[in-house]
Amino acid sequence: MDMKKGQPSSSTKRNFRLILLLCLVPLIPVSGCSLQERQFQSFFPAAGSTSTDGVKREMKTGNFLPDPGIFKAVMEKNEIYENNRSGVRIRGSLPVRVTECDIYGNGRGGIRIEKNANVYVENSRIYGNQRAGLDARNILRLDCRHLGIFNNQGAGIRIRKIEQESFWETSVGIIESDIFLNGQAGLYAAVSSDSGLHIYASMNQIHENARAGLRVEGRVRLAAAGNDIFSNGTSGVYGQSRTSGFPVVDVVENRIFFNKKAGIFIRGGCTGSLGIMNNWIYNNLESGIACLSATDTYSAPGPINIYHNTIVSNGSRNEGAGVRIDSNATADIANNIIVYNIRTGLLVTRCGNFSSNLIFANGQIPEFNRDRDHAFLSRRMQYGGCPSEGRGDILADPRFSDPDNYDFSILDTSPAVDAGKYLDIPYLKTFDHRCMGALLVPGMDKRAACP
Amino acid sequence: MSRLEKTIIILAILLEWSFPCGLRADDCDKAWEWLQEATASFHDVHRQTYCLEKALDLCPLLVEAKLRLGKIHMQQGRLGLARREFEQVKIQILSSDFLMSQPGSKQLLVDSMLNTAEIYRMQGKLEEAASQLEKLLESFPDCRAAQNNLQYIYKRLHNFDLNLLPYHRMVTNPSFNRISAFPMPRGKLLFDTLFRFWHQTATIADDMYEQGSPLFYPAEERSVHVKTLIMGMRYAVTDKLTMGIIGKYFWKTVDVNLESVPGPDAKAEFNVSGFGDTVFFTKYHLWGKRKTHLAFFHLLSIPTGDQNAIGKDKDVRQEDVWRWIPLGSGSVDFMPGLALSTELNKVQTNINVSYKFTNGQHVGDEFNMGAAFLYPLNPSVYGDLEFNYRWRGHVRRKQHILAMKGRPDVITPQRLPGGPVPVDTWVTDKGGNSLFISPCLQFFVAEGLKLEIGGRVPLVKQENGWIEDYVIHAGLSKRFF
Repeated sequence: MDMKKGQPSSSTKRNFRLILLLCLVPLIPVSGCSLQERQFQSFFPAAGSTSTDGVKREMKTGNFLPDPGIFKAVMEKNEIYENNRSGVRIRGSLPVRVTECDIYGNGRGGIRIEKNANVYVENSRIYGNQRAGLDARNILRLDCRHLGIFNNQGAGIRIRKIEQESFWETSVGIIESDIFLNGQAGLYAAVSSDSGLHIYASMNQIHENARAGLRVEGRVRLAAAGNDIFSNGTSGVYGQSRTSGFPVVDVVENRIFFNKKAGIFIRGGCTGSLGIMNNWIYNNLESGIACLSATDTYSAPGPINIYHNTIVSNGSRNEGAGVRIDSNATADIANNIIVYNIRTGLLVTRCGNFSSNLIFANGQIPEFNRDRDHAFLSRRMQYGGCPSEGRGDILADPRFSDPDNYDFSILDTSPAVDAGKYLDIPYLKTFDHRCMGALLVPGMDKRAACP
Repeated sequence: MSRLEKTIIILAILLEWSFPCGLRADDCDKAWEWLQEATASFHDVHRQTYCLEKALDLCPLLVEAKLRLGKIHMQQGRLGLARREFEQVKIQILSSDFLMSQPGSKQLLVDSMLNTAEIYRMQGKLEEAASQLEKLLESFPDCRAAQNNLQYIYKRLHNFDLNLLPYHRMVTNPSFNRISAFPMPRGKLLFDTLFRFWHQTATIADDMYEQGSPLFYPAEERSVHVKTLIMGMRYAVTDKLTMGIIGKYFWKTVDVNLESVPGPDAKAEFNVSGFGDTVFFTKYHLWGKRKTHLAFFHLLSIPTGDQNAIGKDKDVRQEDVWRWIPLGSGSVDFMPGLALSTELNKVQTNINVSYKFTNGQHVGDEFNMGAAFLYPLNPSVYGDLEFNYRWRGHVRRKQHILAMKGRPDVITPQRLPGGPVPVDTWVTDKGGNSLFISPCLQFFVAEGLKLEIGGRVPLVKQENGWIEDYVIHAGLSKRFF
């Protein structure tokens, strides 16, 4: 199956899992973030439902397929280039569709969208523009599908909500697009108003952008699923709180690797009902997952849920933990495989927050042999100084299939097989196994990672 | 076509390829357009390959295109072809002054070497991958992607000890030769707290009574017990420059036999305590390969200690019975030096050479040379054996003593009364050569936290002046990331 071309999947089980995943995101209340979540309207409606703006959405491979009849304006097969200002500028709430266009070399953004705009952009290339490829401000809705957004001097997609001008909830979907080589973040979203912004990014290739792959600030609800996020200039996924609110982030089934800073960095935010789950996070140059308190703005009290991730070889020099929680938010870290990270495996402020993880060969240690008498330092190094292991933790080689080729699925002889603890999360019930680490190979290749 | 003609044509082609001036600007502009087209064809690998090959046909010096082509080969699993492209990029950049002068070409060189290592890793040739990354780090020590990959490969090869990068081992600083040439990474902080205790003695100086009567009976020997608490902080301003501050607090006790004071006051202990001179530390990393580093350092001593501190015995009632026990030098002193650190077969060697320039009062000039050898006895304990050579110059010191005039009222021209006489004078303590051996143990009790215990024993003592006995040393160091 060629995911980039958006062909429907032949795997009904995978479709079911994605549908369930999408439906679960807004429905499960979570203690720390529940207040904020209740203020958000449901972003991911049930399959086949019709939303208030009239765009019919069907849950097939996570795409939103609008009814072509609802669009009041359609731009099709245009080449729009080298204009002094934006290539396309859309205002007002009439649904607009942009399809099969090449928009490049314009003096400002490729497409500028503002004031209640409701826009669907598909099968287009937006590149080489002087500012953001897609520049949205105070919009109602934006759906992007099969786009190539690259070489723009600003962010690939920039979405802003400004105080006093925006009272409605905004939803943005970005599906099966390539966002790369942009001068700032791949996706940058910032909210300074009381109303929220919901972003769903699925099955995108987000890479080599000068800053973060996905960056959200303020009252943003981000769900990122099935993306490949790699080689970006700072973090793969970055969430930052603002005085107006904090981000709620769900990062599921992604491959996040080779980024110049942390794989996932949340400063002052929290995770949603799914949390950070089923990802492969490897070879990022700072921590695999880092959650810190915001110093100058309000920080979410939690939760930060980190389940079933495979976190390998993150860090450089002498910094970079597998998971770093330097925040007072409540956190739960379970069923992960955390190995070969540079500084330590788990670096947390509360030592009781983790359990049932497989930990191996983290830290700059002279050797790793837990059976030797003097290996207490090696064990300590796995936990960043915490005095004891978590309940159900395993300190052993995870036995990956082919780690040198970045295949971190586990062999049937791995100690992680069926060693994970039971977690009462509906999404996880769709899997047959309870291994530690990611239960499937995330990104474009979704085969099982557990034998 | 004759062989000569063929040779000329080939040479002409080679020349055109070899020199940028031989390339037509139009062709390279077109090649750049093909490169852009390859970027825009992100969804079609075959089209990308075609565009890149077209670009390279037009402008072989367009190494970006070659690098991109290599990456595509790598993604498609054609690892041999990919490695050839990356090798060509490397050779092309390194052999061309024109390319080396272009902005961004070093990054392309780094990328090509990283990708070559990546291919070795993917082929399971981990030793070759490690070798490639080590070479890359020799040229570009700050390449974090190489550091990341190399640490993973070392662990995969079970060479865990190689993961301890040299700058990471700065926590294994020797106990007495405390300045390691290994650079601290920028933004890192190291705190030291040391406690040392020793006993030192000095014979009487010849010139103690240069203006007085030889019939005065001087104290035969001076004896001092010194305890000192040294607190230091070092901060890496850049990867090469480390600065710090070192403060000292002294407790000094002088044992004196007072021949002039009969009875229970004949033995006195003069105590003084207080802050000593403050030292500002600067170290600059001059040169380094992976396991051998050279640094220049300088210790600037500021006279914050009281050079006129007076020690008294609370049990002695006589007002004249006291001593000057200086806590500082009273002058600004300079101490430049060199540090060399290297490691071979797990033995880390640190050599410090320094010279202290002073004004010769209270503290004299010093030449210090030390060699320290550290060896990991097990992962959490290091053994440290040091040899410290020291030459000291003469030093003038202010003295207040209570001398005994032996034959009262008879011989002295001033006809002073006999008995105890307070004398203020300057004495010259002679310098000399000393050699010490210093065995220590260093324990890593938690991450970045080191406890050290050891001592320093004199092998060769100087003949005159102040002579130290053994030194007891204990210390605690904490490094912050």
